[in-house]
Amino acid sequence: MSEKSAAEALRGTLDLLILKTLSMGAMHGWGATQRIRQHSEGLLEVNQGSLYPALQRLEGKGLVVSEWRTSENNRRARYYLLTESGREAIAAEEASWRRHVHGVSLVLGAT
Amino acid sequence: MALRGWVRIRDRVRGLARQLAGTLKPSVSEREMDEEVAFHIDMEAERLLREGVPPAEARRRAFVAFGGVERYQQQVRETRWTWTFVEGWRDARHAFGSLLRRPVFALTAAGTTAVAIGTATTFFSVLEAVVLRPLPVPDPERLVGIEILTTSGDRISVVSLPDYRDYRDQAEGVVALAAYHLADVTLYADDGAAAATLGFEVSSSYFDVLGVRPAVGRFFAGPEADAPGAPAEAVLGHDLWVARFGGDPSVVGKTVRLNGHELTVVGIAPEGFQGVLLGVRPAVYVPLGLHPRLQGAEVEDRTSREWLRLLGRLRPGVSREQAEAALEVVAARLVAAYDYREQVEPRALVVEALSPLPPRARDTAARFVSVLLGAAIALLLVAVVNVAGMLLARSAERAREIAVRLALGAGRGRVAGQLLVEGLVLGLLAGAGGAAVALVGVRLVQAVEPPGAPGFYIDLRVHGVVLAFASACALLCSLMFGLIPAVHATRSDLAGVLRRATGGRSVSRARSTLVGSQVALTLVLLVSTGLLVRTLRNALTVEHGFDPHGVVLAEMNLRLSGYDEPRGRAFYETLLERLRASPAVASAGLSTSYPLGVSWDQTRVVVAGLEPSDPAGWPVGWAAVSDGYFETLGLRLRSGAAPDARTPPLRIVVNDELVERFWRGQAPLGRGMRFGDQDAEVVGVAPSGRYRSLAEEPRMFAWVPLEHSYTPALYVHVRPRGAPGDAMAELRRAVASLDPQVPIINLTTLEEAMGQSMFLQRIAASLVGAFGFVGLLLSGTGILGLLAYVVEARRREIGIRMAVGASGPAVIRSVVGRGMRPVLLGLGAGLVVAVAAAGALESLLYDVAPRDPLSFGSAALLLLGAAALAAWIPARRAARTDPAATLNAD
Repeated sequence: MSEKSAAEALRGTLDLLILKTLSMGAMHGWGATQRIRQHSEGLLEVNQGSLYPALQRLEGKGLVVSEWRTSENNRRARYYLLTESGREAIAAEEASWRRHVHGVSLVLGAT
Repeated sequence: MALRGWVRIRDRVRGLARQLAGTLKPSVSEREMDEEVAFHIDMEAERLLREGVPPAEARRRAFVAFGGVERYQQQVRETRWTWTFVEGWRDARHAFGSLLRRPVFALTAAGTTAVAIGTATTFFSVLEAVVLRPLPVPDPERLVGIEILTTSGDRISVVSLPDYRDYRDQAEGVVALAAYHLADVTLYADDGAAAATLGFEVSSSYFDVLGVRPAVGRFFAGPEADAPGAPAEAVLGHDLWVARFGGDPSVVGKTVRLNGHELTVVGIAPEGFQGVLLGVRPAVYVPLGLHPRLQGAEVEDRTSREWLRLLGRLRPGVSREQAEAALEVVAARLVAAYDYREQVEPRALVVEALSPLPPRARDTAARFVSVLLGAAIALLLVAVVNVAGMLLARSAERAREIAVRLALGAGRGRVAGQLLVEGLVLGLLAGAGGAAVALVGVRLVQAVEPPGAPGFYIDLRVHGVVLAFASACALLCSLMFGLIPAVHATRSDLAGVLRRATGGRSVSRARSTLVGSQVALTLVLLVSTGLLVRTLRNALTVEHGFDPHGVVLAEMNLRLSGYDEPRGRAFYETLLERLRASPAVASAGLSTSYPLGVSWDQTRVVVAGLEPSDPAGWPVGWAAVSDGYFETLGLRLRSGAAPDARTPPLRIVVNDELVERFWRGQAPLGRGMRFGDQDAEVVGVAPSGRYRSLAEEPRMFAWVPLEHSYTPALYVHVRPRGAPGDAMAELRRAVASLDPQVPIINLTTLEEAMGQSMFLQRIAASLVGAFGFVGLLLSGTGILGLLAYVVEARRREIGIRMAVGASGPAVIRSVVGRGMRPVLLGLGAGLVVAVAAAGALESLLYDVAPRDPLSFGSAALLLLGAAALAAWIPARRAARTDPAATLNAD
């Protein structure tokens, strides 16, 4: 696997994580990192440095939209919401991810 | 499914639009980004606080955890699809700024390129107008022109009025036909002064077939407009309407005076419509049926008067071949029913796409304009190469900066991109300037009036395809400007540059290539100039057999003033008498044409006992001349006397060429021949000259007495006793005293008029010459720049050589030699290209071989001399190098 496509695979994973997180409801960037941490029981830590560019990218693709709302502690925060396309994308990305994991585990279990 | 696809597209477009908005309103999006970061850090700090971290420490850790805020913002920006443009825009602004900081460079670079682009675009606009542009009518591709192949093997483009009617009516289901005739008309201004103009006599179907609608009023209605007794109506051309009547619609319904008749204006042709002949801008359209009244000529004679050109619109689904076949059926019926002369009897018809120029004229024009366009493009390349050389020198200066940036991790693509954008900015500036130059250039070209075509007009426009051409030039320049330094800069290696080896060698190699190509292109221009100048010289020194010097020439046409034959003869008779009585005039005569002029007559001659080349007879050119003509021209007869009026037979003078072909070695005087449809006898012999063009093969020619072939259109020749100006004034006075309503269409000298047969060559020589000169200057500066650079880069080496005893002249020799290497290579390449270019010029050359050694040799010498001079300046500076100073510098 070339360097580039490895990076793309990682990026695809991050996108899937974010989309899945947002499917539980609109959330701001910080909240999304917390949700990922909680649901992965602390195993996955999303770096802010990649989170916000990823959100930008997803917004550019039309999978999420952002809007300013008032947060739980009464502050203005930028919330990200799934679009209809985003919702559809989750299913496709998830399937492809599962195929990937299945393939990898088959190889790992081969010996 | 379809709905889902639509949703996906909608979401995508929204996403792109949001990012675009973020890019377009950076203040808002930056503030929002700041706010988002602040929120994130606050939340993180609060979380840490809840975990028991002390407040100050919590904030610090939140900050650290976030990483560089600026880096994050930059990453977010770069994620946007619009980033490339943001980057490009910044580069463009940067490039623009750096150009502004070097105004001299910017002006020279963009200016020379703009002039070159503008020149090329101007010639392209001519090519567009003459060759590429379709007629401004609906579905021009369905329009056809119709010509006739005759039994005598000629191809003619005119038919009689009765023939037109038959073709029109009998082929109606296949092609809708119209007929037109270009006529000289005199439209009188309100003050009664005559203004000779061009008009079209058109069939009532003319505008319908073309699909043109009137701007105001209506066109000619019904078949009665096509028959004698047509209503006295006129349609004005749009340009005349605007120029003379201020575009006032109430002109419709008023009367105008035309050739001495009152006509009612019924409509105005639409703007931009100039009829179907290129170069002609009809001032007025009148019905065909008015021809007998306006021009005093009979039109119902089927077999002796062919004057109408045909055009048609194919009916839907009909091919040209089908139309041809249908028209040939009609032609066969006509041939069976009527008695045509061989020269006009239709044997076959040719249906072709309607072209505003006859095919041969179109070829000539296209070839001529292509030569100029080619020269302009060569000049453009020379200019572009020059600028690229300057940019290359600049990029060498910046080599350190670039190498450092590369070393610090800027992508090669990024650096190359920046240089490309710089090129693009420069190229686009030049392109915009070029379009402006072309607007001026087009005006200048339009002001040129070709000989023999007063009122010649081409509607040149800088639009559509022409602008696309200019843009393509600008883009090409941009690429050259950007790519040459970009390729070069990104190849440079850091270590070398930092060690101050400056990559000078490779820059000077690249610049040498540029100089070589400049030299090659310039040589092509200079050789072409040489060939054209030689052509013009040869034309000036050609042996005419007479002395045109000082002779005054006036073109007149009494038909324009409504004169019939008896009145016309009387007018010319009296005019000659008055002229001869004047002290300013040595002699005066009339002729139906002038040597190398724009109109000629030709007839067929049969000589008893000789088998002619063509069943119809030998083609012989002729002119009808009055007494006094030979004397006025200084044409000395070899033997015999001038043609005289006694008849029959027709007593004519023939030229040497005719005698040579028919009666070589025998006495020609008194011999007889069949001259057209008359018997003729040779009464005199004149030396051969050139009659239509300097380049023609020797041609048989005869002069017949004017008394036996009257025509209202004549050329008055006057040999002045003193200054030609006095004779011209006398001529004007004489005509005005006879009838102030008779216009002199053109008053000039015979030399001038004859010189105009070299019109194209003269234009080509002066333009290509000017291009060549500019090319020479640019190549010179190119060489100068290259050597100045080389000398600078080798300063140390030169210093050392001089320190160890090299003399000044030795240094000069070495530097000049270095500069002449690319020049010699360029000359070699240029010679090869010039041979090809000279081949393309051949049709414009007269009495010069396309590989004329003199033209090639002198061009090469001139270029070598200029190059040596350009090389000598930096070389001398190198020789003045102070070894001590140079060596101390490091």
